[in-house]
Amino acid sequence: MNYSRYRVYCVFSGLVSLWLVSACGGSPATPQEIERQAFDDMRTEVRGIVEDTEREAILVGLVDQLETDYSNLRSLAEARRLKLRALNADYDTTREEFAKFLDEFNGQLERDHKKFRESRRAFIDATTPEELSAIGKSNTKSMARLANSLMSI
Amino acid sequence: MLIALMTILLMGGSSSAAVLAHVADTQGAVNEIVADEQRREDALLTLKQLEEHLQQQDKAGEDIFKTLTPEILDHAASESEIDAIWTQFYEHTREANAETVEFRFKLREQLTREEWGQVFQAER
Repeated sequence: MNYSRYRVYCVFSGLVSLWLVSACGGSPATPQEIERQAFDDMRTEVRGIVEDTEREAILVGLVDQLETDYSNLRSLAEARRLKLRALNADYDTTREEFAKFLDEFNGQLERDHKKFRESRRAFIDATTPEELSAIGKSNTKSMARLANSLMSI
Repeated sequence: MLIALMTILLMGGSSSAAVLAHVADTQGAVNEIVADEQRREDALLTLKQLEEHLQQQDKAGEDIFKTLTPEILDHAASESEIDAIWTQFYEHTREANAETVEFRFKLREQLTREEWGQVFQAER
């Protein structure tokens, strides 16, 4: 299947999925469902763009890693939100306690970023500039929903 | 879109959206609970200033986001340039956090222990 036929196929599949959801009167998707759909679509996009099967497997593995990273980030952000609220609610919490917690959180974030930067480098190294450009331009509805959902983290 | 997702992942955990929603709830609670008019107005002003501060911090974060976006999936992007953007981002986050905490202590001075307990009752 060439790439333009593949895109038509993706649009058609998307419309069918949308119709099925509407017909079933489905409730709004949870963040986890949005994430799962977006990363499934991303894997499909990568498979459609990269023809070399060996590199395709590497890239799909990296998308898997990206999905895990997102999930971890959501958990980390939620834990931070709850802990900060609890610290704030306690009238006797000191500046030092806030500073200690925020330093620990930022340290974890920097460690996660370092790991992610390595995945990003591996992703770039496994693609040609043309493939990377095509992957970068891919823009499915589920990815847009995921981006919107993540902006609030 | 993959670029945007990757950038959000890297920037993730830094948005003020959740805190802004919490500030809005706190404004409502202060209005309801603090009977003393002067202290109520002072506390609401502090919360308004905190809200503006958080919005400015988000804007500054978005500016870093815009600098980073073209680099994320660029074969030619230099790692040292990207690292420099991260260093800038971490410094921005640390400063913004410290300033936000100061607003919390300013508000604490404007409320009594009892009022504080009532305003943040749901969080305890």
